[in-house]
Amino acid sequence: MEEEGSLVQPLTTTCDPNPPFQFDLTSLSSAQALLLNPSTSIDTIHSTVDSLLVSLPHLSTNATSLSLALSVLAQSAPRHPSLSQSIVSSVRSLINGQDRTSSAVLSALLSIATSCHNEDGSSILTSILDEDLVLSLASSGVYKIRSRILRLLVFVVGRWKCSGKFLTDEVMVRVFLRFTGDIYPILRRDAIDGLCEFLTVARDGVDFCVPECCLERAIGLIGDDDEFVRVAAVRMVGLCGEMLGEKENGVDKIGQMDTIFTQICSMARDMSVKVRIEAFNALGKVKLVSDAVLMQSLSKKILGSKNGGKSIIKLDKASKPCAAGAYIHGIEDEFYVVRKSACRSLGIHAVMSIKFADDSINYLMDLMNDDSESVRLEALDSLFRMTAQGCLNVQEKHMHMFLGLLTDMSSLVRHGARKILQLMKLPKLEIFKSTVNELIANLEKYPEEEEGIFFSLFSLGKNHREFSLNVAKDLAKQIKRTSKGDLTFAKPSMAATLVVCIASPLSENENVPDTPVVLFSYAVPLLGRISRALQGTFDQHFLLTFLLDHSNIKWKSQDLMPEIASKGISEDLMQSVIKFISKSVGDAWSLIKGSNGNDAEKFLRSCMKELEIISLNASQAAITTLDFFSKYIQILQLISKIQCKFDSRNSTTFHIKSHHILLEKLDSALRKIRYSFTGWTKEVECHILELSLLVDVFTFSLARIPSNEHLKNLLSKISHLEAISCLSDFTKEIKRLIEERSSVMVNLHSLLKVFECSGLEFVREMKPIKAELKVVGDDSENPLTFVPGLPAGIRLWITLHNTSSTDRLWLHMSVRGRRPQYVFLDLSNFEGSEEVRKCSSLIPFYKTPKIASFEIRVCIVIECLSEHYEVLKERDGPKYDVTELSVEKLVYFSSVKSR
Amino acid sequence: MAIQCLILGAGQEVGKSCVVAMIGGKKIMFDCGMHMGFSDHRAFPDFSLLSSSNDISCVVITHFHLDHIGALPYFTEVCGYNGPIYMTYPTKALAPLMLEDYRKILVDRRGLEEQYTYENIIHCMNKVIPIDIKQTIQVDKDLLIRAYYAGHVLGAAMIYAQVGEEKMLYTGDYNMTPDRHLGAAQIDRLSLDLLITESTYATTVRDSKYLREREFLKAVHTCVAAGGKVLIPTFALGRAQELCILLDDYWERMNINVPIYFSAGLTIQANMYYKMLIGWTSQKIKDSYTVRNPFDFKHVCPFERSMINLPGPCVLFATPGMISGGFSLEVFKQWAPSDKNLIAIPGYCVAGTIGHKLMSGKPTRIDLDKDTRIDVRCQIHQLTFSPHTDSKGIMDLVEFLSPKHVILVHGEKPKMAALKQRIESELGIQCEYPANNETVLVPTTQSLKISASKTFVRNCTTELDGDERIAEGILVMEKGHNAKIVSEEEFLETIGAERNVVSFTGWVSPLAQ
Repeated sequence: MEEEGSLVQPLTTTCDPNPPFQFDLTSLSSAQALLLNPSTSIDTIHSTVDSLLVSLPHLSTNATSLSLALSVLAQSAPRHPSLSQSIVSSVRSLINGQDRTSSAVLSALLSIATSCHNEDGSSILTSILDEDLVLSLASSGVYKIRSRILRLLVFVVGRWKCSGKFLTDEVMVRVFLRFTGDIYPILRRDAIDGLCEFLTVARDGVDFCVPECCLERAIGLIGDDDEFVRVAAVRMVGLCGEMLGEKENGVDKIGQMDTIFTQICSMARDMSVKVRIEAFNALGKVKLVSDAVLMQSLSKKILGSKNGGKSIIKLDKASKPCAAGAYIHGIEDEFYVVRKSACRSLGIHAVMSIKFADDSINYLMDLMNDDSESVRLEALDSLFRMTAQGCLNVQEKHMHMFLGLLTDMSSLVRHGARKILQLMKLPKLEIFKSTVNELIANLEKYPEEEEGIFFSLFSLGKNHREFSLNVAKDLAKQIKRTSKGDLTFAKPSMAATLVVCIASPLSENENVPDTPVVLFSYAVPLLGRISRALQGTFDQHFLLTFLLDHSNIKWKSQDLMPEIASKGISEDLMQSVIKFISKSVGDAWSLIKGSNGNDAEKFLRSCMKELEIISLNASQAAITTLDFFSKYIQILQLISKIQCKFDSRNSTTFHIKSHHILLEKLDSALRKIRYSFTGWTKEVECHILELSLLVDVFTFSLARIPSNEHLKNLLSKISHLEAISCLSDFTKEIKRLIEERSSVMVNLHSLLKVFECSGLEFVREMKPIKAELKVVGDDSENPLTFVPGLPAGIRLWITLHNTSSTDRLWLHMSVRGRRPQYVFLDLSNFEGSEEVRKCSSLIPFYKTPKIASFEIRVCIVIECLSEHYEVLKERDGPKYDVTELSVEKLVYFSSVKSR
Repeated sequence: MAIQCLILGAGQEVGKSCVVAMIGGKKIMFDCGMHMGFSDHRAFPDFSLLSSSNDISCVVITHFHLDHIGALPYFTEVCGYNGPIYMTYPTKALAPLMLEDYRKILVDRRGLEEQYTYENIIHCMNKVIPIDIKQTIQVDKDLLIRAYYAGHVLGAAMIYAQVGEEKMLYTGDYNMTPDRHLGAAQIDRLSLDLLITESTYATTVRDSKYLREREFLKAVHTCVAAGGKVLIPTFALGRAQELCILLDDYWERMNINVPIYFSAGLTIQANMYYKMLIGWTSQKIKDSYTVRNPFDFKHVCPFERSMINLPGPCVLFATPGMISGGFSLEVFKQWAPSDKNLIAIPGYCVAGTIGHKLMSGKPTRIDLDKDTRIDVRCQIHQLTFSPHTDSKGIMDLVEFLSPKHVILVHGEKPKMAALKQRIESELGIQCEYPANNETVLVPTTQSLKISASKTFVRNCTTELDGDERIAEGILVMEKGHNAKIVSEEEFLETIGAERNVVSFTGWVSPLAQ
């Protein structure tokens, strides 16, 4: 602030009015620097401004200095609003001075006013301007003065309502009107903008004759030579049209609107893009136009019927030819912005006149072929609004182009087209069918849009009861014809058609007796997908009840009270769904046996998807079952893959390695399913054991010369099976083969054939065996510390579910690239019952590497005691194969030194 | 003052466009075309009507079509015109191709005598000064010309000429609606004394182009979807690119994988020119050019003759149009007998060509010559694309420019008469359609600079009457002096007269009725 002091000194002395400090250009610029510097103190600013104000009258002889001084003051005003008032009141006297002075004063006023908050700005102006002053300035011969007072007025008029008025409305309008005839185009434009602003602000309060008067002037100006004036004039015509349309007056309104409409239409052929855009925007604003004129705007040829309306404004040309083909030109325009604007206003009028809608649909449909995506979207939007208003009357000729949109590159366009289809009324069965097919094509090409497509199909089916019934009957016939196990219904097209068929019975309870029962039962497995698409329309529970009710699946309806349903799907209901799925899974076996590997895989994948969706809403108990099924399906997928490989190995190259990998995966998946659940029924346990026998058979046939170890293992499993229940054909066959010492490999196919998928229907009341791990005080941001080479401790919270005291659990810890370390978990250290055991303990990790930081993967594993014995290389590790019970956790360590 | 227009060609006919206008004492020749229908002296404009070929200030060519440029080498090399020749860059690039192509056909195929040689063409083109759109060229001290975008074909321009206060515009051929590759004609508001406009479609009002596009795309799509082949016989420049952009776009949007072929030759060369001259195409192409050149068609594959009979659907653009011979005829012979295939004929076909036969009713067989007979079982689709503006477009342009006088050229007499009627009645503009070799005199307005006395100006600013400013003064024109406007008092002072006031009083009798 010291440097500032030296400058302030001479300035403060100037406060003395006698004699005032004479500002020259240098001192003015230092004053400017002071005022603009944000760290200048308030006192300094005040004194600087004061001295500037005092010296203003003396500067008036030197116009350059005066205008500079004024601009300095104007610049400082927005930074220091408190000074505005004093600045304004001292420049007031200068306003009537020389031309240059008053223009400088006006520009200073303008910048002060614009920088103020809304009301302040205009009240400042109100305080110094009055009618006489404005009128004398407005009629000045100097362009600068006129332009600035005009800009001030435009500024004020925008805030007309919230400030005191220094001009009456009438005078204001007159001044603007006068400016619209100015010789400078920019003033004409500003004046029109001012009038528009006035009309918008004063909207309802304005007298009827004002918009009429403005309209007349604007029409006079739409032929202006200057592009910007034409743009503004067209905008004003549109605005006046809008206002006059809303106001009630005695005049023949339609005639008046027709005149305005045709006037704007005549601008649709202007050479300036901006004018054309504005013209189409304005066309959208003019309502209540007669059909005749609207129709004329769609035809380049002059139509025969007579224009009935009389116009209040005399036109020098017949109004009809002006309107001819305006929209055609608009949608054919070279610039997409114009086409877009034309399209929007076309849509606005189409909603209001049915006759016009019928004709304009041709053009809107044609716009689907436009090269600009935004135009296509705008056209779709217009079509959508027309559909929503019920004035879309589609014809066959449009459908090719329209349905093409469903396979369009752009997802927005596809979405837009589907949105329209949801509301559309289709006239013919053929069109309905081709629409459904096109939606299916959409689904096949873009499966990620399934939800939207299903919803469109549903709405389509709902809106066309007769047609969808027809489709339903065809589908039922098709289902009857196909043999069992032919899983065509896994195809997306089948799912899509089913949605169409169940739509109308579902939404209105109509068509129910006519719709073939088989369709409802086929729709049950698709429940998840359908209900996701119909979110917000029907809840999943209702849907399921409905489908089960009408299908031939037996279930207990009393379980399904609506109150319960809202909380989730009941257990029994879930069981029946699961049973249905398990039956379907059984079907997959027939595909695997029949070497239909690809079909089976596809089918299993879709089953998996269903399970995922259903489990979102399922209860805790059901989740266990669903989890079991998903694990089971994984096993089937692997078996199907292996089966495929075995089939192909005679024909093509045979990669033993990949078989081993698959078998290894299968083996571990089986282990996982066996040790992740408890509470098996006898049947399920047998089935799982048989599956593991199957794995052994695969391994066997691959090894060609089976080891004794393998044989022993196999026999022990068979004897285990024998102990549980009587042997199945499959097990008997294996037993026979082993006893006969014949090659299992040769009989692989016959073995598979006798393998039966049974016991799955008994899946119930299982409990998951699982563990939860929580590492205390560690995350990647705040790792645990360690001293390299010395053991480190990890504090863990362990929760175990459904473990028995005979289970052998281990903590598996591994660092990438190193041998894992196992720590035995003694269950006696845990608290709680068999259901839940909890324990917190500090586990040591011995082999900390000699690096700055590392991470350990920790998880809890269970030893698979019934599996074949295998000597593991770790001395202090599990003796049998293990399978994971918990999710792997990462524990981060950083060395003490690096901290 | 007046503009004197000598119509050397395209007066009440289509062909050999050539107008010589004398404006402000300067003679300008607009276009120098030939008539394709004649091969004798009538093919060229009658240059003998010009007193001397070298009193012409400049020749301006609007575009490269032969009926606008065909006689240029003859005029410069044979008649000996030596002055400047102006044309746009694309026209300069493409004109020699067209001229040489035509010369070859004339000499090699029809065995006629050539009017000018290849060297003549090259020599003539060397004299050409290229101009750009909206570039103003000061031809000499008084005469300036400016080119405006005309659509129609690549590089087509409308020519504005001005000498002093006299202004005129010669449109050449133009199109008021944009197509897929060219924009619409674009012009400023000019207060013209004379507008010379083409009037090819003086009475036709064309429907929306979308309808034509939709039908074309549907026909092609249905055909290829059913495994058929589509033949589009077209000329190398313009239509081929227009349709190909349309198809390429549609293919892209609809994910269609059917190949589109271009028969080799001029078309590929033409595509190259289009790629270079992007600035002369439509806004859309200019916009998308920043991402990729739209003339690098994504779905167009290279074509070989052996591919004609390959199985599977395809679309083929083959030259020449109208199936008048050459490659398109060869393909037509192979494809016409299958009912799966489609022949799409864009535009007009001259009588006698196969294209014309196909368009005028569906024939079942065509006898090519004594021994060759083609069974026509394929579908035929006719396209009515035209790069000329329709009557609505002409009227719109005339209305927008509002010239004082209109002359119609390049059209058919009865239709021109109808259009003249409309221009005169609806727009109130005087209009004429002279025949060839006629001269029209168009009067022009002349503006005169006058000075105003101070008193008069002061009176103007003070005598305000509401919104209207009415000033009264007296115009004084003296020999040897500038015209001057003075106030009443000043006038009285200069002539030394006194003001006399005569007043009248009237009586109205209450019983008069």
